[in-house]
Amino acid sequence: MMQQISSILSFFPVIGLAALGGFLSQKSGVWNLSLEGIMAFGAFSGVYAYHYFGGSIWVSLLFGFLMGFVIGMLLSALTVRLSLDQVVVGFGLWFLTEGLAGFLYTTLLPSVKVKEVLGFHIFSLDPVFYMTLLAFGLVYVIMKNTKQGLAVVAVGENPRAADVAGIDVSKVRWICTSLGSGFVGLAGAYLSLVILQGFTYNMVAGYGWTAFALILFGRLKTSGVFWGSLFFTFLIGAQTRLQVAGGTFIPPEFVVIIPYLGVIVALAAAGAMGKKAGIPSALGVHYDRE
Amino acid sequence: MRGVTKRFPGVVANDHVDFDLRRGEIHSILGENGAGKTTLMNILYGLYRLDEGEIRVNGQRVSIGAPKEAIDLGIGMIHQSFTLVAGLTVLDNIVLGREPTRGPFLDRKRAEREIIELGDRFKLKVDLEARPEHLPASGKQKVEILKALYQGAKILVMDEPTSVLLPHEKEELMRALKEMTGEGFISVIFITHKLPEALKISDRITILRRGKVVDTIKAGDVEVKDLAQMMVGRDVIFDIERAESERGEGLLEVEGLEAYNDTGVRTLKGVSFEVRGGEILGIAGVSGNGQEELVDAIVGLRKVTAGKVFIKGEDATNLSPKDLRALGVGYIPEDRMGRGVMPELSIRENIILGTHSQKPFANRGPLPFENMWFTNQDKVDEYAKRLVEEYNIDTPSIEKPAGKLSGGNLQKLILAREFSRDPQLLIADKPTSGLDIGSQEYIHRKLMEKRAEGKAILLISEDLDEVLGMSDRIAIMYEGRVVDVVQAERVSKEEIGEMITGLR
Repeated sequence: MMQQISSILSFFPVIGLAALGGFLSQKSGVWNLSLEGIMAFGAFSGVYAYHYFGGSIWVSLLFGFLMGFVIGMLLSALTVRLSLDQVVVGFGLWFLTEGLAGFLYTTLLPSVKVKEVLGFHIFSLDPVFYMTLLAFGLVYVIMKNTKQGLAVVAVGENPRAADVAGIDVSKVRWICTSLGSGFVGLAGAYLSLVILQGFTYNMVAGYGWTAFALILFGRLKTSGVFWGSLFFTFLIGAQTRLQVAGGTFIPPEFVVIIPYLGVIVALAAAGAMGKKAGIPSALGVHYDRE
Repeated sequence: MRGVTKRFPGVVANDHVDFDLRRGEIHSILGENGAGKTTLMNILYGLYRLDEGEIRVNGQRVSIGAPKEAIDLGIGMIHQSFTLVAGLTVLDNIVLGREPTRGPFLDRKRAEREIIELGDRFKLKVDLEARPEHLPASGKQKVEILKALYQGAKILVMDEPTSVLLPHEKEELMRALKEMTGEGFISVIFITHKLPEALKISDRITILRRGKVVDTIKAGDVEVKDLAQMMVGRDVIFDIERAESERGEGLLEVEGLEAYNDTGVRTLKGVSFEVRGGEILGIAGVSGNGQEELVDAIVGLRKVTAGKVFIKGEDATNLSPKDLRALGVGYIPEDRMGRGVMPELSIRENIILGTHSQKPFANRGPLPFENMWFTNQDKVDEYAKRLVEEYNIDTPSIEKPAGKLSGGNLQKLILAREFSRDPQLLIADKPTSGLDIGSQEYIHRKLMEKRAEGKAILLISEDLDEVLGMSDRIAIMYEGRVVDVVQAERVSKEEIGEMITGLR
């Protein structure tokens, strides 16, 4: 039983880190619609680093994070600095990064098999799992109890108010977007290096968009995003187990859609619960002083 | 501030403005909308950069490039539209940007202590745990004042602070400001377009007109009439002229009207009245006593849950806005940007909204369909230009987005559109709120013209002078009901004030 739960939970960093990363960006008022693409690029970058930079899985994960961070900087440069439309840029970067990951994979990478196991395990769960929990805890505390957290909430909710209180709106937004994208890149690298032990084409398979939905499902609250990610992790676990155990009486095609069905039901439930509390008022709105 | 000049595309918002503030004084900046008052203060607060001129604070020449630098110089500003963050507590809002910390964490205990100390000193009591979005305007303003004081403001800029306040709240604010400046604790720059207020509260008054300083004078040396003349550039008629008008048939009748507000609470609880042709019925009441729901219900934007609306004797309950407009209902909404126009569309497009699919603006073209498909651009241009001229809308072009117009011009645009459809019944919801004297005068005159033509007008207003001056009869709304309908000439402002607050 314990073993079962651990093996289900081992997928948590993929969803959790991606959702947390998108959440940071959205909380500061910038839509990050490129989660899917940034994950794919992070996944590629991780395996690339593993193959070319000496085969340390830790260095490779870090490289995935850095590549995500760089894309985040690009995203914020285009939206925050150059005030381009966040939706257009978001979709553009999604296509660009996902396409680039696939292209570079076919041109640069031989078939790589990751053999190393990540650090020591507690309850059969690796350090990244615990680091993800820690990251959620940290973000929760920062949002609630630090001046930096107040600044993020203020910038997302009412950038004018933040500006007149002496907060640098652009700075807060680019830090949140870049750091958040770093987490998303890390989620992708973890997926390729640890879960699937290699890169394959289209391996992200909608997890980025799922993370995106979970952010809204969690009403842009740290705790909400956390529980949503955990919930979806279990749905994926249920899906893989049913595929094995379901045998002939449940069509496999149906089993595959279970997690996504779960998300739709959860989103609908969240919508039915009423108010859009928690969604920053200035999400997606560019701020200009004059 | 010396020789301050700020240009925006097409206008000089501030033209070599000189302004000085002495320690412990209240100095009003008086001017109509668009005179450049707010621009000048935004420059001082680092929100705009000046093109020419210089600013000195305590004799030191300074360059203020961002609000943070202004705050560091001891300048605090309370904007006309409040800058509070919904979702954060009042306490968090006050300390935002100047948070006391212990280690990496916020020190909310210390913040609370310091804020309560400040509040006690100046009698500014607020609930620190509340959320600003649940506070009334006066409460939000107190939070803003505390925020500025907490940031260490020695110079407090207040942009039209009284426009959101009830009469007794205004008194309270003025008392608090007098007290703060009396101790020499802070100096206040008070932006307003209301003359009596400026006279009452200020030590000195600087009058701005079209971006230029007309004069700076001692408040004791001048009278309301002179001030108005300086501000507008011509004599102003204060009293609303009203001619006798024939009472016609009942054009609007509501009977036991009930409706729910957006959060599902029944806030309109059975309202009945009648408005006849040639009559203005004023609805007086403090905001939030059901007026909003009443207006929505009549213009078809909110479901009537009980009761009836009759227009020209016909049952018009729960008709669509389109059908109601066809029956001759004109609507001047309070929220001009949100409901009055589509801000992104041009003046010419906004001016035909609602009639855009009818002749002569639309025609069938070569298509064999019933509906009109093609816009006749020449006809629309001609029409828009004519109305812009007729209604004195001040704009360089009819292609300008409606959202870029000043409040007064925007309201004229809405008036032009609604009036040109020749409505029999006009719903005017706070038609002059936030407008300068010149525009107010214009709107009042236009409404009076419609009354003389025999139209029925329902006027909703919080401005008691307006309600008294304009209306034939006044319906007092309190907690979702019409508690009384009185003849305007038989009632005083004080009596109305007591009625709308439920004291009588």
